[in-house]
Amino acid sequence: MRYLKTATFTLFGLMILFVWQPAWAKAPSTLDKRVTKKCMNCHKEYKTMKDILAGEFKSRSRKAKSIQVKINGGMQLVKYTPETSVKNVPNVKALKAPIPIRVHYRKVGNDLVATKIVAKPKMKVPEKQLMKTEELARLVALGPKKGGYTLVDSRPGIKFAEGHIPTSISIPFPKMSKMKDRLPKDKNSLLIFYCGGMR
Amino acid sequence: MLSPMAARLAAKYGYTNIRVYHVGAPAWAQAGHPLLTTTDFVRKRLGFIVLVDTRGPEKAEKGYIQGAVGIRLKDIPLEKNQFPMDRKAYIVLYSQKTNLSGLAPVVKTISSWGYKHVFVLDGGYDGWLKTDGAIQKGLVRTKIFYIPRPHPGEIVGDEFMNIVATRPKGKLILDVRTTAEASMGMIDGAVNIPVDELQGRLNELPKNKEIITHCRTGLRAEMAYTILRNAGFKARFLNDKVAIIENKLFCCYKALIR
Repeated sequence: MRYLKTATFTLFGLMILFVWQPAWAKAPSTLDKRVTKKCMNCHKEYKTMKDILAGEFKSRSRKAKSIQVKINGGMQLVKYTPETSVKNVPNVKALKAPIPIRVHYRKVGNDLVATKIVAKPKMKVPEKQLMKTEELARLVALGPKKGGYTLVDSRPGIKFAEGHIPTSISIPFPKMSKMKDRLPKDKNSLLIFYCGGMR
Repeated sequence: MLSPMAARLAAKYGYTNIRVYHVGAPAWAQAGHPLLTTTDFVRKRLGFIVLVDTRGPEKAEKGYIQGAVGIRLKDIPLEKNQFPMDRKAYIVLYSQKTNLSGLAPVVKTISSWGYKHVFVLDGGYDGWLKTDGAIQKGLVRTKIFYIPRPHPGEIVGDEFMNIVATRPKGKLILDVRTTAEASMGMIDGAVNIPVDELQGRLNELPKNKEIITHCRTGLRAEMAYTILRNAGFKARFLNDKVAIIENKLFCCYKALIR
């Protein structure tokens, strides 16, 4: 089913590519400008998908009917129309920076026009794994030794430097395999992860 | 987003007692618990944050972090009016040592005023000294003075007003509001191309001038800046409010209200 979906997307993408290919269209050509590297960690298929952008939603102008997408530090503008379909959030209005999005577009004259905007869906965590603020606050007040826990900040190092929960250690998720030795030796001890909140 | 992924990876490593604080650092702060910031971060943002020495002016005179303002901890709740209008401003409180429990209630108070980024300096003044941070001695400022960190590509209000007044040859002011908005009045010498038409009308713009974009609030000006930069133009944008009423320009309040 998944393969079928990907194949359909690719086919659809190719079709669009052949229909809309005015030479003057300023479409982002290289993969670097199309898809944020971070997205590719989990979405290898983006490499082959045509006419998509993937990155962080930056801002929206109602007057210009456009959204800005941050891709690898650069920016791309995409227009939207009432026909633009939006997935995982109710509408374009509900997009809040910096939610990761994928934009399917077509080129119209000099513009990129979004046909579909897919917001990153919420990740599911088993109910019993979730921790409430009060519970964490009680542990933090005790400290890692008395509380018997290791608290890990999975966000990038810069976010940790800016402001972290007391007693936490910084292990950015992309570096986790390299920094395994910072995790507790006892595999049965309490290990808590946090980040910038799930969107 | 990252924590559930980290939790899955940890399970693969064989950890059995994994929990996820899924609401994360923002929720922690919202609940009134302080977040710790590092000396590294403060050093990088020095000059663009509100740094409060909570030991008060008398103690601070013997030595305080460069650029800090001295307000005694118990006086901070009375000084709400002194804090910047910009609720996204970075506010860092410090004491002699970390002193989390002492500073926590005041962090809660400042957060309740709507500030999104309130932190306690990890290690306090002593920690700052240990990392050879820059200090000052003598009289300490007791009034908050805040300059926000400019975004990349931003032009400051003063320079913008100067360009409006002198109209130098090498600069072009591009008004990216709608034609309807522009018909109500424009800056003298400016060119109007609505941002949604800009991509198709780039050939109307000179490559040899720096293009300064503006709109009504700064949002569309930044979008226009993105389009221009992607197309290889030299450009900056005004991230500030602009109104033209009866041919008079009203602009650049950010510097004043901050």
